[in-house]
Amino acid sequence: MVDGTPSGAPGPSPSPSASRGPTDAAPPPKWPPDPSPQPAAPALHNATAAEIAAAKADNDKGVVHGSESKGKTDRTMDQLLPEKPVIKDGKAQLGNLTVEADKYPQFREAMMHESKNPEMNALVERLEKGPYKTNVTTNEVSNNEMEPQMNGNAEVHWDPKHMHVASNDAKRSPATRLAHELDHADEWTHNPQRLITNANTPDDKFSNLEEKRVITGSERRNVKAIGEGQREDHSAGKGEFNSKGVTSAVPVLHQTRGGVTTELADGYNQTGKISVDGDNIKQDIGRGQSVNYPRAEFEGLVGKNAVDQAVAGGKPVTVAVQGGEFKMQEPRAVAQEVQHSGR
Amino acid sequence: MGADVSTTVVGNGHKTGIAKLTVYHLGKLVLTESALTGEVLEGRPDTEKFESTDPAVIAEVLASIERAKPKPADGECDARWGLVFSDASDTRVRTLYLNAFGTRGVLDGAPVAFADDSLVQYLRGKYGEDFVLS
Repeated sequence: MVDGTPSGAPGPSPSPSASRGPTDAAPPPKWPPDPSPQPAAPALHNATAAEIAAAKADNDKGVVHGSESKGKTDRTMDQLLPEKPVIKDGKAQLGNLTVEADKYPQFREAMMHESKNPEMNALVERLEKGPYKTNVTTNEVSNNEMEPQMNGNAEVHWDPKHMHVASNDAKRSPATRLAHELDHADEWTHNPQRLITNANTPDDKFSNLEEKRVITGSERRNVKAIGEGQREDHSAGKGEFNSKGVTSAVPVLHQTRGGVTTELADGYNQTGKISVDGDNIKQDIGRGQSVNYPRAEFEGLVGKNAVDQAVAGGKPVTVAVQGGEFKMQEPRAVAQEVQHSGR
Repeated sequence: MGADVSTTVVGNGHKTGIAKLTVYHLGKLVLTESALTGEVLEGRPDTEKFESTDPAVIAEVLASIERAKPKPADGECDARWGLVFSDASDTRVRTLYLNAFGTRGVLDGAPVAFADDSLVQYLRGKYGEDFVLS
């Protein structure tokens, strides 16, 4: 079994006597490496009842194997993911890691951001030097997942456009969501039997132990390093929203007024009664004018119950964006917060 | 409590004239960044869809739900199975989504837990396995 140590990793430093000048020096290892030949598919078996029971027992003791740090590497993300990689067959070739060529700049931006947690460098290096391929393709339909392949490869699907709001309001950028999937790919590449066992072991909060391994492991360290929210479960939560960018956990919200749709900016503030109007939340803002907000966005961020209560209550509410947070509150509450924040 | 929920499902099956069962199943092993909702499960291109208007099949599935004794529970499920019961006009009467383990589900929008995995075992035997590698 592969132990995850890259074969191209720096070895011990040569002794001073061994160093005789530039002509004797070994050439620096090529990086990113060329793809290695594909080995035979890993020998795997379905998770046995005994293996699942053991994983459950360890989980009950607070141990989720594989949730520890990926370790370190001397290579920076800038070195691991060059600005201009080799492109072949429409894909950026990074050893055994490939990325859709036209989305590679976004992939690179995302992982440069995530490398504030240095173990992400080690993770990318492990994928580039791994025995099997990890192929990253993108979409814009909120499809973020890793699909393990029978032949040992990992197919990662990533949506660089949408961020996620968890059930505890924790917000995660597309970049963090990508790093999550790459951790699954690393597990499949280097420890596939453990992935099978963990994925076959249920967990009430995290769906299964493989999700728990990632969410309570590298993802938690990533969000801490980059200042995003930490979720406490694997649920669909409050939903997925357009993001301001690959590395942004701030949702983009919209309003439509007079037939023109615009993005809500920080400092937005409107007061008036709200009502449900098909796929929109309509807010009457006086003088016979109204503003529409996409209902899915609105209900996702403030909660359907809060919307129902505000509609039933029939009293004016203030809809505001403050510090990237979309809020619906009593008019006085928002006014006070604005005052406190010095605006 | 559990009996109340399952009896409601089965009871309505007989009373409201369920005419069609649609089963949605995502059998392959795929790790999603957040749990799949029933709506997303139904919309995936790789989700298999089985339809039956056979009253015997519908009754059998309803009975298997009753045997699994769904009870109200907190939390969501990572949906891999969807059971949609419709009437003759193709209006949805009941929906049940459940995870690949058969431990958690969402019945008509409300989260439920099951007493055992008998329902998912039954579904696997009839429609296909879970955790299948691509």
